[in-house]
Amino acid sequence: MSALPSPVPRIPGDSILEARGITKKFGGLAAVDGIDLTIRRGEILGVIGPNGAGKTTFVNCMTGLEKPTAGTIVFNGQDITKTPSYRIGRLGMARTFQVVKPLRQLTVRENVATGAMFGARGSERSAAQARHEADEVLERVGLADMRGRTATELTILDLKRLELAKALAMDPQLLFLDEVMAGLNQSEIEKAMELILRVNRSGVTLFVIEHVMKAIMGISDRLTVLHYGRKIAEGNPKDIVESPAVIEAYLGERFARRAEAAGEENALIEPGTFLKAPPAPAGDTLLEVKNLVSGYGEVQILRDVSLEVKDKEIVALIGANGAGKTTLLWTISQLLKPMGGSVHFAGRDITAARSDEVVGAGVVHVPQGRRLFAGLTVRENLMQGVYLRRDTERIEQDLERIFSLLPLLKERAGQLAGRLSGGEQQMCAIGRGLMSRPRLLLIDELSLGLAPLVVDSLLDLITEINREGTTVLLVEQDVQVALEHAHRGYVLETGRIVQTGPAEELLDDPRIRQAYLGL
Amino acid sequence: MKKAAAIAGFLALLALLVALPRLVSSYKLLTYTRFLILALMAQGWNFIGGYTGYAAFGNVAYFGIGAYTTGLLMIGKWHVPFFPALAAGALLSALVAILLGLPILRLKGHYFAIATLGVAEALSQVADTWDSVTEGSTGIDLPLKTEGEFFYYTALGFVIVGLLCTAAFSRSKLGNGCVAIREDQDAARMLGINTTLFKVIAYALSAVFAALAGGLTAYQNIHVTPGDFFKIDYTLQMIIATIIGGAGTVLGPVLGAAVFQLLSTYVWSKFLELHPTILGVIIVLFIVFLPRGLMTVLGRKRQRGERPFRMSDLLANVRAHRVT
Repeated sequence: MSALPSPVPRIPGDSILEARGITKKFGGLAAVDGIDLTIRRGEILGVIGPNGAGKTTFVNCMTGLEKPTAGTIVFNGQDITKTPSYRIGRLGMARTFQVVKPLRQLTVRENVATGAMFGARGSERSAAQARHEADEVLERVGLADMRGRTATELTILDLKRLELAKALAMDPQLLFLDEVMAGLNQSEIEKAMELILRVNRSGVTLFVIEHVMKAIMGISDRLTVLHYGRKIAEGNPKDIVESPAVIEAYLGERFARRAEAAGEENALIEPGTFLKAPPAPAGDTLLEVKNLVSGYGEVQILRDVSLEVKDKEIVALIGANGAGKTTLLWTISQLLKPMGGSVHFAGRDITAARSDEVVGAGVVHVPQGRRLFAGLTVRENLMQGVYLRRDTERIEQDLERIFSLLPLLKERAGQLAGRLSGGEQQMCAIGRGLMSRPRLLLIDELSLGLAPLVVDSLLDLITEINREGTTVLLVEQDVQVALEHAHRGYVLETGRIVQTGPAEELLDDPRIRQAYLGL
Repeated sequence: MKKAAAIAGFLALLALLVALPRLVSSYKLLTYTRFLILALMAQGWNFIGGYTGYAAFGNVAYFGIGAYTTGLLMIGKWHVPFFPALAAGALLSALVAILLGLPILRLKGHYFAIATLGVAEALSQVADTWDSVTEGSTGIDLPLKTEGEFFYYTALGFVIVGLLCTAAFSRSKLGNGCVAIREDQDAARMLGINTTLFKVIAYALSAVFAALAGGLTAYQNIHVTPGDFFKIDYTLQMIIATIIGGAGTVLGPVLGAAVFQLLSTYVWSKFLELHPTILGVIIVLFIVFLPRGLMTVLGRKRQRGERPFRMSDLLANVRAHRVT
């Protein structure tokens, strides 16, 4: 980060955007409730807050995608409260979407060119010039090699880059970034931080929503905290994370304890401080994966993976994006048929079994991105987990148990799953998995896009269900968190297991700390 | 090099099409004219259905408006010549499409499809009951014109102009914006695209092409009735032709229309009774194995030398189109 150009000089008090009394109601519920917010020209304003705090809704209101129920927005001295979104884009405001919205069938270059065609300087450019401009933007974000690929071929990491490139091609003065780092590992986060700082130094004011605390602390000039649609704190990032209200609403006590324990920011990533996992059980082998080879079409992702999970164990599977973690889970649950090797579960060969047989045997998969049935209620979603069960009389009982483990779900039982916040959706997905009474629960990216406090409660939940006898294989981007809660860990690199051992040992291993914890 | 070969091939094909009336019987020429008219309708549907991704199921409405306007102007007290009458039909269609498009293009997915279906049905009823103008279900009779070559060349001319229009559209900001709307409307809005304006333009363009096809067919058939000119078959044919050929591609609709007409004629001559059934099965196979149309086969072969038909396409297609 040393080669960064110096910051743009700021005129004190010069604001690029003034939002006053912004309220957005859906039905009777206020997702955003009277927020006043000023964005200063040239700054990076970090925004944090629990899932469902109204962060994305606020951005939707600012960018015209949704019209606020009340309040006024002034951008560069111009009232844009009622301006349609496409015109707001042309005025010099751009955004990325939390759930990426690429133009799927188009190439990367065409995606970005569309931004250059219709953005702030779009009217100056012909379609051909816009395509040329797109190449320059792709160079800047490091996607130049991908320009000819269609968006559907990209990994999630590249899709996030594309999302940023599209927005940058619009030549914005103010850019809203909505969780661009969700799902990145530590070293990728470092790169993303550098890129964001570079964008800012080139003169773009940034509004950054992010759950990755290390990143948000590292780049923000100021920090704003939203909670239940209101602003509960704003100011210097260091002061904010020490404020009790913020700790209570968002960061959670564990984060605060960790911070306190070492007295400074670095302590957030000090390994081994708060080991949570109960003592390792000495069970029999429950899942045995031998020499597994798997992939999509002609592309091999897993090349000879062997691992085992013992009964009543929590095992963490860690590795960079694209290492093959998700593919491994998909192959274990036979949603993806292996090309070679075998998968044994409880002594039974389930290689190439039908996926309903796998579920019947007791292996239940909570997929990345939750995959809930958005049009069904929470209760209906949970009940999707019971198809293969014959013990009908105990289903009601289990539902009650899940509601007692996850009281929030009980409150929302009648709501459509599509209306839940990210954390609630993840709870619902895990709940649905538990309704199948699994012996082995496969969880893919537990913390993706979730607030620290929510992640903590989900981890407690996993510890709890493990204590009740469920074995867990956990894929998690946050290596620290995963290893603190697991008994053992496996490290996957480009389709191979490169390391394994007890969780504490892996946490202290310098190679792992360097590769995944950014130390 | 490759480009030169493609252009040479294209010119040869064009020369063949121009010389065609001298080479085939006047009965066969009718089939070719029908192909060109279908190609014209499909080119129109391609703007709204292919590039913009709005499943318009009522484009026959504009076919009918074109037919009636052309016919009524030609036989009314003004005796307007054919081409100005046809142009008037196209203009009126565009106007109707703009006025109707403003409300119904706000709908998405199935709702839009049903609304367009309703519009076509409503217009059919208007033509049926507005006796003083349309002569109701008896229909109107146009002046007789028997030279098959006239219709063939007119249709050919329109299709070539249509190709040029589509090629220009696909490279323009307008075309790019429409594709962005198809891929993700929210993203398109945030990219600075006036989605309402773009959708209405694409819809009006599709109406113009349908109206031209309608007017031409009216003049060729002489007799125009609501039952013949507002039937959903036309809508279905233009959609099927576009999808078989490749929705959202420049050549797709024309290619698809050729294949559809060829198949339809061939199947009809072989299986008089089972004609619709067999044609239906063929269409299903096309859509299952080539969801993105014949153009992808050509494109894929050119790009990577891959096999054009793959089982994985079928699976990917099913996966991509299941209801979520």
